Amino acid sequence: MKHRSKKRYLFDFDAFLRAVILLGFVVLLMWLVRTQQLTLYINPKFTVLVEIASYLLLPMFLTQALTVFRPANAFHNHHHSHLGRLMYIPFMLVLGLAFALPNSTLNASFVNAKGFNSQLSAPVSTYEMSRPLAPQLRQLSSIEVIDRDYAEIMSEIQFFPQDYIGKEIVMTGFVFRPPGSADNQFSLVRYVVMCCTADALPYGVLCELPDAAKYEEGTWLSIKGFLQRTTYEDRPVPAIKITSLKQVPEPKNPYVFPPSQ
Amino acid sequence: MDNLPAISTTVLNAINMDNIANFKIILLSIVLEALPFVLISVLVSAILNNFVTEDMIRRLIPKNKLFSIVPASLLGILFPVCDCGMVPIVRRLVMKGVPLHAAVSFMLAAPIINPVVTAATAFAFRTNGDMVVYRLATTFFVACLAGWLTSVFFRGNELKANAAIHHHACGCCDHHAEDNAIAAFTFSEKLVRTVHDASNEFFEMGKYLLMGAMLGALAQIVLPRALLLSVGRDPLASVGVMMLFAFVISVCSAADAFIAASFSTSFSPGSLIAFMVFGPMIDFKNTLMLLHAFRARFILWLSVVVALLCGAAAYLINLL
Repeated sequence: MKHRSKKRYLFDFDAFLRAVILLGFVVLLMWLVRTQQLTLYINPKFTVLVEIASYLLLPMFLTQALTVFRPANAFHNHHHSHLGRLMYIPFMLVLGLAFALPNSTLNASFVNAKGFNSQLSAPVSTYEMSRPLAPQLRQLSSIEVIDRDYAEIMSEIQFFPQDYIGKEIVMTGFVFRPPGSADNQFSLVRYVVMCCTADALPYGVLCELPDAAKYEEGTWLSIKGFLQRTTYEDRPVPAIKITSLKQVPEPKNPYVFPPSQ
Repeated sequence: MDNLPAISTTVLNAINMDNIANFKIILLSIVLEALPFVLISVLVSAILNNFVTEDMIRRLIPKNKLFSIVPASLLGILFPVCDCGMVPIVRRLVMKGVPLHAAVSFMLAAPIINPVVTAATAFAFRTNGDMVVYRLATTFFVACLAGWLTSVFFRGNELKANAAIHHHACGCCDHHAEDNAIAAFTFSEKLVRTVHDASNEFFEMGKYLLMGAMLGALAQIVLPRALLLSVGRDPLASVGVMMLFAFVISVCSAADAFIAASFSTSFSPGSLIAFMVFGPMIDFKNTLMLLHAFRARFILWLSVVVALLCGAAAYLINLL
């Protein structure tokens, strides 16, 4: 049997596209991890998984990259329809969106689509809630709402306002105007994220301030004030009467990730 | 349909810069969350393909239907897998000769009956411990019954014809040896083949995951929750709405309990169970993958059966 003296190499366009896409994902994941922007998308406790994913993608990229140029002798005569390459569009679309648009934070306009906690929940729940923070909070005359306890404290205020009326509240959040709020009212809100921002839920509390109207939706504020009763859409709700406030830049971790246990 | 004008204005209002930014965030967060699980899944599938023979599997699976369906439903306790990465593994198992009914029970139950999801559910519903029990029991019931019905109605493996013979899309022509020739390869050859198979399957399955994630993200932007709330207390309508909602938003089974809990004061408990049982079993992102792996007729049948079983169980819970 006679061997061909010259080995010809073929350029495999599919392998090339696959290699480029896999490399794109590796770069995307590593970039998000390195620049600590991953918390804009998922709970930090999953960071390790994303790192593992980037290491799994690397050998996949290598095996594809190594087949971009292949000896032509192989009994390779697949005929790829060009239609088959449409399958790469979703990958490119996702990578394109990921790199082209800046990494931003869910904005205030999304609160309505998500459903705001004070609109969703009936004022009194029917069953007994477990309230791990309640005994501690009741002792305090001034409650500083820290990230870790954010969701817990917001639910406490929402469900058991009678325990907290008159107490001073110190908190940070962004301005949101629920439909039907009065001119001197807005809500101070943050997104609470369990796994990824797809499950983000806005949690917040109504605030009252004479010149509330001059703060735009989405503005981040640090406020101090006293909890009292007011009416919103003809029903009594708790609200913070603001005594002092400061406009602040968006925090480095705009989302609140509650501890899992 | 008096909601129709409201819906169309909502869709029109949705097209602006804010929403494009939000769309990107939701889409990328679903992708980033699911990607590790999908990669692990295609890798496990490729390892099964290259290192495990059909004989080994045949010896492990009990002949008796009952003895294969019930353990398959409980297998998630040992292998806590998320629904994002389920389909590639299940398809591979069926290719390797696992009976369809056992594979179906495993696929439906494992994303819910596992320690990770149980803990998340218990935490989300720490005010109401019954919900965990209801969720696990309903899942077990639906998975077993759907598995049994599968064995009654379907004899074959219901895989798409092309999937059974040639699952690589390209670039692997020297790899077309039959499964029973596995032993002929050295360990390092098998390793390279495994990585190569995994990356091919990643492209095959990944495109459906990404499309499903896009649809889910889109639905989250244009579907205001207030629309859902109008039916929250009706024992039957609330169940249907929550199952549809679960299908559309396609969140991970580890996270959906928290979403369900956020509805707990305005929706009936049965509808929340339906949301948490149906969602991980059938949703946008894995339906596209399932349709690629199995015959459309079978997936349609399975979706209807699972929906009916979930709905019936949830309705019963509402009546309790």
